[in-house]
Amino acid sequence: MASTTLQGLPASPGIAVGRCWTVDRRRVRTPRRKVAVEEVEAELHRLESAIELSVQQLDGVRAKVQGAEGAEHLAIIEVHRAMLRDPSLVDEARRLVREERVNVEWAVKRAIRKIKGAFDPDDEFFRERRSDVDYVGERIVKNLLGQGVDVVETPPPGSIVVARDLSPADTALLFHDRKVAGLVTDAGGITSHTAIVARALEIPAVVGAGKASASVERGDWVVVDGGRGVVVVNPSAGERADYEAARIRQMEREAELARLKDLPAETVDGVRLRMVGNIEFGEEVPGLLSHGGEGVGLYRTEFLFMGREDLPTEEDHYRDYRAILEAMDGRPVTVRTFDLGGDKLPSGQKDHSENPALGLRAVRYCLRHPELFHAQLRAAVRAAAHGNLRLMFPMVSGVAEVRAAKWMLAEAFEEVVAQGIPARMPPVGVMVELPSAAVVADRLAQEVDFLSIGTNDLIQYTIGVDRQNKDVAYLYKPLHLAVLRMLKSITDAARAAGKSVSMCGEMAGEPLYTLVLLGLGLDELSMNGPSIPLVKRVIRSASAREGRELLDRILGLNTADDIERMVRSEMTRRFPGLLEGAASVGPVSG
Amino acid sequence: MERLERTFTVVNSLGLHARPAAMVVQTANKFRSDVQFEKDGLQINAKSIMGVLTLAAAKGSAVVVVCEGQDAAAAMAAIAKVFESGFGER
Repeated sequence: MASTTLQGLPASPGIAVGRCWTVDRRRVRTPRRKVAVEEVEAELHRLESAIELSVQQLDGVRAKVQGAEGAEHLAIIEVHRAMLRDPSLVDEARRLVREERVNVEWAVKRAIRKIKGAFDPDDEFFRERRSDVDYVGERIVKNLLGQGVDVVETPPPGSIVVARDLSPADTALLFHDRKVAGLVTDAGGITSHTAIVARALEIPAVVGAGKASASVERGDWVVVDGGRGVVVVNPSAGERADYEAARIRQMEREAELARLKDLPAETVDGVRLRMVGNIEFGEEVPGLLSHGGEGVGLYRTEFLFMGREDLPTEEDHYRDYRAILEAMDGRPVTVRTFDLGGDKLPSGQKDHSENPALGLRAVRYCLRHPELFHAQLRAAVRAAAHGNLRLMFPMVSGVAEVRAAKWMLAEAFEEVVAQGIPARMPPVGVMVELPSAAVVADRLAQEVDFLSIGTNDLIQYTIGVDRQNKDVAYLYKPLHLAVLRMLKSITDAARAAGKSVSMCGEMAGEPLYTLVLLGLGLDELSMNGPSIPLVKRVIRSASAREGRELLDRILGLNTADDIERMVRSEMTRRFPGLLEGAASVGPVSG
Repeated sequence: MERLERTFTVVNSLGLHARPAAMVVQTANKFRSDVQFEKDGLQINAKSIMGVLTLAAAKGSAVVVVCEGQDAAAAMAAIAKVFESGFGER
C-alpha cells in the first residue's frame, strides 16, 4: 500500500513510529421529541440519573489517573465535574422540559448551546471552555441514550492513538500510564487540552490533521513527527527505517543535552561563562532551571503591564520580583526596568509620534514618568533584600541618563530605608543597545557594575534597519562588520574597566555565533531556556583561543555575507551536525 | 440575613482561568448563602462555574464579591482565602 502523508499542527515534538490504535469518537445525534405532561416528572428523573452517572464516571477517571501523571488531567476533570452540576445547565434543562415539553436530551443540548453563547468564540480561552461545555453536554446525552462515553479498551504499549477528537477524560485514560507512543487528532489546536497534556507527558503529537482518522485502520503503521506536524500513514519499509533512525538519533541527542545540565559552560582552555535565561513570567523559572539556567539575565518587567487594566502597584512588582528571586534560590536575577513606549505602552495609551522606535521609550519614558519609575525602583530595592537581584536600565544613550536613573534609585532606596523597610542596594547595569551607548561604553562602564548588550536593538539601530519591514529585513545581519566592531569595543571597554559584560539578545542563544562570542570574551550569555544546552555544548568543546582567532579573521573581511560564510564553514568543520541538529531539537531562539 | 461586600484583586498571572474557577465554585458551594461576583457591570452566581468562567478575570482585575445569607461571614472568609492565595498559583 502506498504511504500517505498528512500535514497537521505540531502539538508536541518528537518522533514516534508504531501501530495505529483508532479511538471512535463519533458525535452523538441528539433526538428531539415532545413529551406529554405526565411524562415530565419521569424526564426530570432521567436527567438526574444521567448527571449522577456522569459524575460517577468522572470520579472513576479521576481515581484511575490519580497519583500517576495526574495533575494535568485532574484540573480539567474537576472543571467538567463542576459543570455537570452547574445551575445554568441543570436549571435551564429542567425549565425547558417543564415549560417547553421537550425531551431531556434536547433540553440539555439547548441549555449547552445557550451557555456557549456567553463565551466569545474568537477568544482562545473561551474556545477551550466551549469545547469543555460540549464534552460535558455530550456525556450527559450519551448517558441518557445508554451509549458508551469513555474509552474502555487500553491500547497496547507503543501504539499511536488516532482519533477524530479526544475529550480530556479520554486523554487522561489513554495517557496516564505513558504507554502510548504518539497521538494524532483530526481536530484541535496547539493550545487544546490534549496538546497541552501531550507536551507535559512528552508524547509526540500532531493535532488538526484533517482526515487522519478516516485514512487509517487499527493496526496500520503510522509515523508521527510532532516537531514538524507531519503524519505518515502506511510508510514504506524505507520510510519507516528512516524515521526510526531519526527517532533514535533525537533521543540520543536529548539524552546528551540533558547530561550537560549540571556541567559548567567552560571552554577546554578554562574560560567559564554563565548561562542564564530571558524570562517574562515567574512561570518560566522551572523550565529555565531544568535546562541548566544559572540565573536570569533578562527579566522583562514590562510584561507586568500586559493583560491588565490598571497600572501595577509597588506591591505587584515586589511580589513578582520576590517570587522569582526565591524560585531562583540565590542565583542572580537581572531585572530590566520598564522597556515601555514605542509599541509597548500601558493599556489604552498609544504612541502617535512619527517614529516611536526613536521616541519616548524605556529609560526615557521612566524618567518622564517618575511616579511609575519610583514605584518600580522601590519594589526592586525591597525585593533585593530577599535574593540576588541586579538592576539594569534599557535604552540608555549616554552617561547623563545613567546618572539620572541611578539618582532616582538612590532616592527610592533611602526612602525605603527611612521607613524601616528591609532593602538592599542592588548592583546596577545598563543595556547597551544604542550605538551611542556602544561608542561611550568605556565611560558607561565607569558608572555601573555591569554592561549587558541587547543585540536585537543594537543591530537594528546600528544598521538602521527595521527587521519587521520585509523590504529591508535582508539587511539585518548580526555579523555585519559594524556590529562586530561595536561588540568588540563594548567588550574591550568592559574588560578595561574590570566590569562584567553579558549579552541578552537572540544572538546569544544561536549556536552559530557561539565561537565568535567566545572570542569577544563575554562573561554571561542570556537566552531562552531551551537554547542553553546546545550553546553550552559548543562552549564545552571549544577554546576561547580559537574563538579569538576566528574573530580576528572575520574582522579582516569586508561583507556580512563573507563573514557569515567563514563562520558557518568554521562551525560546520568544528562541530559537524551541530547546525542541522539545532533545527530539529527545537527553536534555537525566539 | 447578613449581606457582605468586598472587592478582591486577581493576583495570579494566568487570572481566573478554568482551574481557579473550579476552586471558587467548590468553595462557594460549601455555604448556604448566595455568593455573587461582579466585574465590569457583569454579575454572576459564584456557585456556577459557567458564570465564573464568563467573567474571564485577568490578572489585576477587581472582582466585587457579595455574600448574602446566614453564613455570609464564613462564606466571605473562605472566598477571601481563595483570592488571597492567588488560587494556589503565583
